[in-house]
Amino acid sequence: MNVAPGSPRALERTTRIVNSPGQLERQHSKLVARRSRFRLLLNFLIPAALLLGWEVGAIFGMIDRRFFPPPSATTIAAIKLFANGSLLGQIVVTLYRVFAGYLPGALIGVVFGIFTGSYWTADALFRPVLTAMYTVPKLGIFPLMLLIFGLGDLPKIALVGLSVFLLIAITAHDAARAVPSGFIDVGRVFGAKPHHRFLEITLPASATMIFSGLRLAMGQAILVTIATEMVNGDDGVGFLIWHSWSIFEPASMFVGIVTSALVGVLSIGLVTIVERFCICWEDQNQTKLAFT
Amino acid sequence: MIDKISVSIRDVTKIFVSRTGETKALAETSLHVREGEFVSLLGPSGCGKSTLLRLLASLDRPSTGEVELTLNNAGRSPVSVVFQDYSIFPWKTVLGNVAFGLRLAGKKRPEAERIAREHIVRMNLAGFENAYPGQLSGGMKQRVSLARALALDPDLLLLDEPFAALDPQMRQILQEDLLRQWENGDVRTAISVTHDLDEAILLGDRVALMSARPGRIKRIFDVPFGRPRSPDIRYSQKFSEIRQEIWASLRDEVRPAGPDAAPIKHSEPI
Ligand SMILES: Nc1ncnc2c1ncn2[C@@H]1O[C@H](COP(=O)(O)OP(=O)(O)OP(=O)(O)O)[C@@H](O)[C@H]1O
Ligand SMILES: [Mg+2]
Repeated sequence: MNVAPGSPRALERTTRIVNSPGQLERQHSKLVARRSRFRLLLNFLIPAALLLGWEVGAIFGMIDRRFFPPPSATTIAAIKLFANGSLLGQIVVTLYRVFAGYLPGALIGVVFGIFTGSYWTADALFRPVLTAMYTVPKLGIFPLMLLIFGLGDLPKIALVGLSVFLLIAITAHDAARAVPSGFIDVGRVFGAKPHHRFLEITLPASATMIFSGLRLAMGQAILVTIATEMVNGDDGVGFLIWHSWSIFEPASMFVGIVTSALVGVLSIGLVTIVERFCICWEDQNQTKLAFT
Repeated sequence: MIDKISVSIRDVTKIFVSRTGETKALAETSLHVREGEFVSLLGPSGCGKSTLLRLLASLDRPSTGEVELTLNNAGRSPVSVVFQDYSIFPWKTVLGNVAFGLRLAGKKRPEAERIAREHIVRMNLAGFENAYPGQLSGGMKQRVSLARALALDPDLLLLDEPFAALDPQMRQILQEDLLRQWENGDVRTAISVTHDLDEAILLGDRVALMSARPGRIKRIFDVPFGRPRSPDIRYSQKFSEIRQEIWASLRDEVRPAGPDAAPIKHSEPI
């Protein structure tokens, strides 16, 4: 410690250092609660500021409300659409397509990816095909899906499932390859059969990475669903957006855009909640928020 | 009684081939271990002790020579291993980790958990059955790893520096625990790698000393103590004599070679 010579402190013989409980230790639960409330506030800060700026800009005529209706107009349009039941119907249809494609796609993707990541022969056999298919733009093969599956929900669900499968298979593959070999050795020493190795070692060891893939895949599932609804069919949030645009009703168009964003945030949050439930061995003390 | 040989290592070599070249980890190594014998394996760092143990566990294959295990199936499983870095699963509770090997050996879950609980108590981990490894100290993790291997009651137990990460007191206690369990017949044949001379002598019927890399068995010492033995033999005259003898031989291997490495005169190391 730097103490100027001659100052009263320099005359003291000893330096006393005390370390006692701080605020975080004394009022832990209170502080944690306060912090998570503050966090929630921060989450909404930027969207709120943007919406407010938009509203004010529209009031003062800096933003053309015919093309860019302010949040208030969009809210009114949303209430109208909600009241006549059509908004909820579109959301349900879209969610159905998202999850009907996502769940089987993700499940098969995890199993398949861990399989190809665990055995070099499977790796050699499947990886080039998976990588090639992954790079093809998904919407580019939507016509192909229409040809194979006809009209209706099935081609959309199939395309969502395929996109999710590819992304998850690649993530799970890399995750399985990254499993520390020490864990695999333990399995070998104790005589693990392939199903033991999969369920008790590789799957939990790669779970964290797989869940990050599952979050990305959820975003992609929504994106693909909405995009296919835009080009084909007459329902769903994607249809709402595109149809509103073609009959020039920008307010309902924005309702559709905001709805798809909210659906995305909530669905990805759902994956995070499932993750916390599944990866129960990790320290859960940090307050991770569901929607980030 | 004629001694049966349970482990035969015959002229085994191991060469690791990598992009940067070849590493000869083991030179022609031979060792024969009798059934029911405890052999301590001693040698300088990097001499190939872990490599040899992995060959015994069939986790790797030798480059030449062969390893032969003749196990009499008296235990619940043929071989189990305590790994140098414990390798217990972070996603399983203490109970789940200890029961793991038993379940894979075909025990039903209740039976596996009953045996696992017994071993958890023996390892002084009672009360932590449902804790995850993330919540345990290093010594506790090592005891979980030990319990997982011992619960299988293996015909051959392989230990790779099982106590290296522990504090000296804990290490001493676990050495005594292992000594007791082994002499009670829970473990039949054992090969244990260690850097700890006292541990090697206390636990071993013989101490095999390996030379610096590429390793081979340089000398084998018979430990002049019968069984069951008390941990207090550590303080006997005979103990320090054999310790001195082993160290004299080990010192040449541990000391770095080269003109600068002038011999340092000191009677008792460490
Ligand atoms: N998978 C591997 N690939 C290449 N080289 C290896 C591999 N495993 C071990 N080696 C080399 O083989 C030699 C012996 O390694 P080993 O782990 O058996 O030593 P050790 O006697 O157990 O040492 P320590 O006492 O430090 O644990 C070392 O030089 C090491 O670099
Ligand atoms: Mg080693």
